[in-house]
Amino acid sequence: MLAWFQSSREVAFLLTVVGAATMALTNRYFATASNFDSLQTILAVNGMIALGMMVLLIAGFFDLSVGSTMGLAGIVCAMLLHAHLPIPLAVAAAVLFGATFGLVNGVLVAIIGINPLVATLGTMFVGRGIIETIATTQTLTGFTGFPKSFTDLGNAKAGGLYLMLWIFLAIAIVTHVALKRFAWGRQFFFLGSNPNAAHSFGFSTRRIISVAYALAGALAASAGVLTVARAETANRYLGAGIELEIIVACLIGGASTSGGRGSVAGAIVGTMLMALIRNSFVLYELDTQWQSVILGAVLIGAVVWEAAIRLARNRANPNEVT
Amino acid sequence: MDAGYSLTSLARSYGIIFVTLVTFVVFSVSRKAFLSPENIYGLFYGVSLDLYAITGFTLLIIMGEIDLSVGSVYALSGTTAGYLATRGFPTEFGILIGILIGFAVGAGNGLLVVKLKINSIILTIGTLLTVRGLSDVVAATMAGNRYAEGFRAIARARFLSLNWTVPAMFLVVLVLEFVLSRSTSARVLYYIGNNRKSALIHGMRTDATRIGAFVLSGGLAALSGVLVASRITIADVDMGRHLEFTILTAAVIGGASLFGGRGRVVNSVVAYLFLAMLANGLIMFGVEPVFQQIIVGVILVAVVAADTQLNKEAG
Repeated sequence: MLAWFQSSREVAFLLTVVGAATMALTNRYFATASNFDSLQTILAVNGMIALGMMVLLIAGFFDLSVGSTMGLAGIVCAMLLHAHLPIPLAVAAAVLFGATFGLVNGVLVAIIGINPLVATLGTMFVGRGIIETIATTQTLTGFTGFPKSFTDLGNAKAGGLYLMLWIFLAIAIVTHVALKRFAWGRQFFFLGSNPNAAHSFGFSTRRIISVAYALAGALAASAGVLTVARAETANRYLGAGIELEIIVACLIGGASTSGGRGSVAGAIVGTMLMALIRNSFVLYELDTQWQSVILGAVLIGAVVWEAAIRLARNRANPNEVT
Repeated sequence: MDAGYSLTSLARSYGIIFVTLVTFVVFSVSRKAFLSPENIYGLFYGVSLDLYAITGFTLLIIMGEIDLSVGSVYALSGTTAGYLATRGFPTEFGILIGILIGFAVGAGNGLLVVKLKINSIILTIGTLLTVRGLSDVVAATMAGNRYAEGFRAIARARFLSLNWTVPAMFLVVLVLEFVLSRSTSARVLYYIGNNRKSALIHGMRTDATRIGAFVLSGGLAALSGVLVASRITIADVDMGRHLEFTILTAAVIGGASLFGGRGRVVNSVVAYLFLAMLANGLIMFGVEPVFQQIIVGVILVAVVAADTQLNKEAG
């Protein structure tokens, strides 16, 4: 029982269930169709970014530029659709753009050797700057009036759930299987647990890191495309500040900042708990200022929790190398 | 030590001063408005208020730690000090509370990072969010009202017909530069940043020093925040937003390393002045402020990339 509670993922799951039950009992807007709609779309979009971030965290890295990638890819997709490009082509181009943006991060971190904080902070600034530049020069009409088959990506439902949620679940299952069942996926864990050993064993660490960043970029871009399809518009605030929320979701879902730990289930549970917290702000009409206080407190709580468990484990097995 | 290495260390020590001077000359020659005494004075005055936050941040980065909450602490302390003064408390009391808040947040950061061995980047992102929210609560209470007269006078007090903070900046930088380069106890910061384990084995009190540096960083960010709040006269929710990133950029292009062991306060201050000058000069060239974000991002990545490359070549 105690061991079960040592994993923040299980605690997050328990909190999600208890939280949802409490909200259902105390707020009459929680268990409504429109609220479930909004929760589903948040889970699909944020969950997708969290999957990419989770793979990076497992490998021992992280990416602050996912919000900029999401925003830029969404705007790229909107501009291409406005130029009457076929929908599959516009979506593919936006996702490819995200992968390329991610690959740039990967090259900066893995090949040139820049600290991930600085590298992705730099690309975050650059991406946000490009978004602002586009937004101030383009007329807003360029970012609305999409064909219906595109907006269906974000608004159509199949079997009672949003199409975008099905897309997310499919990607999540593929990622889960890849991480658990294939050597290709396990190399992320190996690199994150012991980078030196991974290098000595002949793993191409540079390639692993670059692939993880490209994957995170592509997933963030997909999230951007889906958000544009859902909102039927693209604006300059798309994805702004989302990186911290995603990192918090992964950490409360059991990832560690020192690498080697994490799971797809953790990314989903963490995203659900964060979506629920965000949802409660709206349902209980909390002032926006307090939202930041609570998000920060959740993050501090998650890292302190992780650290306390790590220290307890070290005390129990002092010879284990950490 | 070959010529290449000494050229590298020369570039690290004086590169930013050289680049700042060149930028200054280019802007002065090409734009008349840039060289006006008011404009130049305004640049120095701005840096003289943020100086303390830059100093605390640099001391931490020398030790290989990072405090991303400085911008939020700066805002919370400044706004709270102004709020208390406006609500009728003595100005000194407001300032005291503001600075105590900074020390308290710094102590929280330091204790958690050092005692629980938490990555300082992730932890201080949490503090950044929490403290920013609290600061927005105070700013919302002020609802755009002006701070009390006495509070607004602090940053406006004169010394030799200058705002006192400007001569204070030169004095502080000179003293710090002297102390950090001569005093053995200050060298401890660099030893800890270079190799914490070896510093510990050699009998240095690494934990206490690291916690102390976090406390100092919080307190100094608070001091800068109080001065800036006094200058801007009204409560502003955007005060200090992204300040941590600007200071981080300044420290890094001033030659500090995120791995610790390197960095100088005077270089960080000059680099911060360089960034302020760049923003100021580019506006005169009609470059949109939004485009400047791109430039800052590219400079940050390019400088670190070059530095990492030089490090590899030096061995």
